[in-house]
Amino acid sequence: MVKPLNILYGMSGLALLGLAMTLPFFTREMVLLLFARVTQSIETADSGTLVLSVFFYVLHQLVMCTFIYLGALFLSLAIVKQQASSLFQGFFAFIVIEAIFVENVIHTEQYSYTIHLLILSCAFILFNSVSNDKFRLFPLISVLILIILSLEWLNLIPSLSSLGFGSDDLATSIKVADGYLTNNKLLNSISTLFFILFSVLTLFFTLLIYTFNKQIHTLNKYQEQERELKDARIAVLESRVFKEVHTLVHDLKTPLVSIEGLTSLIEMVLPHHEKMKAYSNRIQGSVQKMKEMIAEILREDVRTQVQVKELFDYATSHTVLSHPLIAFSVESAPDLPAIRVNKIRMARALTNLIENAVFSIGNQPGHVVLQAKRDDSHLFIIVSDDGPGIAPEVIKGIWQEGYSTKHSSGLGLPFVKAVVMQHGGRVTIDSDANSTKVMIALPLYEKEEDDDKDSYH
Amino acid sequence: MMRAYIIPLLISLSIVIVAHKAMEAPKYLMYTLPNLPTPIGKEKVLITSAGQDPDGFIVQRMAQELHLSADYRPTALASDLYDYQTVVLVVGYSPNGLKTTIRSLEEEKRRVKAICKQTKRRGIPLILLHLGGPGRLDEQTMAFFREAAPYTHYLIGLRGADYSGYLRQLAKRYGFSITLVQRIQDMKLPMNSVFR
Repeated sequence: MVKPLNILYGMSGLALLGLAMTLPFFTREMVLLLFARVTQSIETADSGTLVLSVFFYVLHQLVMCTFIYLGALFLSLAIVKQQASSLFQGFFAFIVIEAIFVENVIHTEQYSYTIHLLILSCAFILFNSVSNDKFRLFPLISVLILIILSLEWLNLIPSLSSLGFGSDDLATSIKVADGYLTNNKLLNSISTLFFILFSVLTLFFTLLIYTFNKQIHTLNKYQEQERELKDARIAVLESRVFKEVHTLVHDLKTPLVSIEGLTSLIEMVLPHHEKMKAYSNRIQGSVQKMKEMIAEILREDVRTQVQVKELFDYATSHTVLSHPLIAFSVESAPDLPAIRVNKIRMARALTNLIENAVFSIGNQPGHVVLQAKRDDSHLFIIVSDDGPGIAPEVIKGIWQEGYSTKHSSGLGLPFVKAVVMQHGGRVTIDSDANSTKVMIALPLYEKEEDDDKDSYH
Repeated sequence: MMRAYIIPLLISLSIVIVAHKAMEAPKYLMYTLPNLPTPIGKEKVLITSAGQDPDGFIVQRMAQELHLSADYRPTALASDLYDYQTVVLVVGYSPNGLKTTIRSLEEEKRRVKAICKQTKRRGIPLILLHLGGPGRLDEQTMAFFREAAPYTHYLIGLRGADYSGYLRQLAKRYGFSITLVQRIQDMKLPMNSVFR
């Protein structure tokens, strides 16, 4: 499939070549005036008038050649991307030489091919010396125009006429007039001077642009390395925090065992104390819940069967939803089955999504909805908000660890994705300018299968 | 890396070879004269153009410097020759010069042919001048030379322009004298020798 950029290059190239072909029709009056100036300089033996004609001639040639070379460059870019390739340079040279040929035929002119062979040589050296990423299009065009400007002066050096330089009507007329007025001393000197001047300028400009682009390239490389280093640091930090939390949670088991044991002891010591027995049962229940939680935190593959409402209650109980301008609502379909999830981790994931939704609305009035529905094979949990949405370029990096637009750790959404994927599900974000919808799709299992697996490992 | 510079090197090499050939050729000056041994022309002189390049103005100024009684009429017709004893035809095709005359190339060729024939009919010498250098020795200019050569008595040109030997071959074929000079200003001497 043709890329839009290639179409743009192709159209621009054709337009520029068309302009180059029709330019002599538009500049006819100017060229005739220039011709009259050359004649006038002979009649009045005024070399000053001739020098003015020289500058106008170079300007006219520069405009025409710029159209031809840029046209050829854009057309070649539309076909081949790599400027250093032989195919690209072959196309480029073919288009330029053909354009000069057509100019000569249409306008019965004698534009020199020698000068274009030289310009093409310099352009090839430029294309071969600089890679695409180190030398962008605009600097390339600037250098190309400078090359044309410096080499066009060779057309007006009479000593080079025998090599085919400056064989067109205007250049020949100017050189003949100068031959009569100054024995070609004037043109030989000023054309050589300007040729050297612009060549040096072109060389310096090329080196400057090249060095600048190289520095930008190196800087980008450093930034890339810095980003990788930061990612590595975050990964190490996350791993360390996770290990510490893991150890801490594991260590909680010991005091829990003590509490459980001591509660049993109290029951044994005070067997007829009803109130104490009730307290003891509640403590035992809480200890049991804490043990379940610890088991789920310590082992990602632990699954328990929970009702969606229970999961939602658990998630929202851990979220601060007291924002005065933001309304929070929970909507769940009546026919939802129980699901088998790691309740603690899934609840934490939902809490992350709800907090993100609240944050995205900011200090504006808004609405956050936690919703659940199902189809034949999936349960869908949707967290939506009517905030300003997420920019497409932000969405690309949103699942990467460390990526954050609110100066946080950037671990929230990657955690959500990891949890959902551990449950065999998938998570998607759909956002426009007025809303954002995060949808978690979890697979539904058959009842029998659930029953078999409804135990801790 | 070397592959990248092969094409530019080849182009540069071909330019050097052409340059070498171009420098070599003008040394060959057989059949040429430094100037005419005896005058062949009389005043009053008609200077006209074949191809409408601006070089006619230079010849006009040279005629003034040589104190020749001459008129420069770039678009003179054959019927205008009654008043003149010599015709100087400045040969050089210029597309822009032709545009200023509102004449086509074919009409210009017919005009030049008619003038040449009229010089023979009236028995007046036809002198060709070519000031344009190598850039003005294109196919159209050569067509004007071919048209005028059978009627020509003397040709003055530049050495640098005739590196192919085309003008010398014409002179040999049609038996007229030819002088090739180094610079435009050097043309005044052979031009003077036509009349004095």
